[in-house]
Amino acid sequence: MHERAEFLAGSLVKLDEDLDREFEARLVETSTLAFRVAFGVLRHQQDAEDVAQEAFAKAYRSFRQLKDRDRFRAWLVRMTWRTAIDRRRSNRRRGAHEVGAEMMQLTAASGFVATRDPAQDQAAELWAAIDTLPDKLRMVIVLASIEGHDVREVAVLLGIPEGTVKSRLFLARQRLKETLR
Amino acid sequence: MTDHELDRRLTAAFEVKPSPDFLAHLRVVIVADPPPTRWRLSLSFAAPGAVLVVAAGIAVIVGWLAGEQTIPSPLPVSVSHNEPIQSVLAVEQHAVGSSASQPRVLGARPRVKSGVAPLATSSLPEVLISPDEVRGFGLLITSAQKATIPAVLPTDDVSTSETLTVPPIDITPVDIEPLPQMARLEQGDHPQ
Repeated sequence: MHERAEFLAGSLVKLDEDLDREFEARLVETSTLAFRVAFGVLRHQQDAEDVAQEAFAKAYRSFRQLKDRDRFRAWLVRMTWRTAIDRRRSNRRRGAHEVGAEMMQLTAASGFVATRDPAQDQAAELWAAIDTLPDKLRMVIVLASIEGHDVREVAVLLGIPEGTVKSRLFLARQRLKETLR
Repeated sequence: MTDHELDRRLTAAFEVKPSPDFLAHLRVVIVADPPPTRWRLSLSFAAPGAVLVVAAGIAVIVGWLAGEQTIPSPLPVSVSHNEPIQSVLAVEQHAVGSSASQPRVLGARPRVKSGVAPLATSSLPEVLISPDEVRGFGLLITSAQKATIPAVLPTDDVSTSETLTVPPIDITPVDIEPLPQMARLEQGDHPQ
């Protein structure tokens, strides 16, 4: 009886170790993706890191429940996106981070204020245009721009049909081009 | 703006990288997080545990009900049809021979087993029967056996058949004088 209990406990420990090892591999593989998804919503380095950490903590707690481990990326992306949206809402409620800390050179009163770095100016202009997009279009354009995801991969990540991704991507690009013209 | 230009700017905008210690922070957060696996495993044992608790509860209730069925019953439910008559006769003979001042309970108080007694009888209250009823019932049965019904029940107490005589009541008439004020008013003497 005692040997059986020891065997069972040993198996459980081994199972935990295997899960931890697998999660560690997923963590290394997807940490930058989660950060960039969060950054696409928040445009703030520290906030994006916090949100990515929060999403990974949630994922770790529920990792055993995930039946299909191949869907971990999509699962994590959606979880990070939702967490980032929540964070953005709470930031707006607090009145802070209305404009990302790294984009503080932009002032709403005078419109776009040029800095000495043209690349930084272009980035700020682009982010301002992305901010005008509704969340559905924004999510598609963010995911399509990260790590070279194609339409099929974005559809898998979001769990929606490829046709929907195509139409949303087209709409988002059209609006961005009009804004940045 | 061309598609190529837009793609280039989008790619450049998302080339942002987390801080170098981001991964280390992530590991710290996850290590600091309470281990989920044990909790999940304990959840998997929760369902069988709940079933065991429910089964134990049912066993306790069934045992308690079985104990309830073995309480003393006031009626001899496991005896044959002739036995109550014999018991009544025995009580009647006993009552005639004694002063019969105390009420008696018919029948013995056997411990009824659950397989014999119906559950409803266990909750019947204990019935006290007066000696007169016992005597009358016994006499009725013996008379029925002899096919002679008595018109009047014999009784030891003769005081109940005596007639009491009530003495006559003498009532003297009472004269009530009218009040002076009322008498004057009747005579037409009005006050000033």
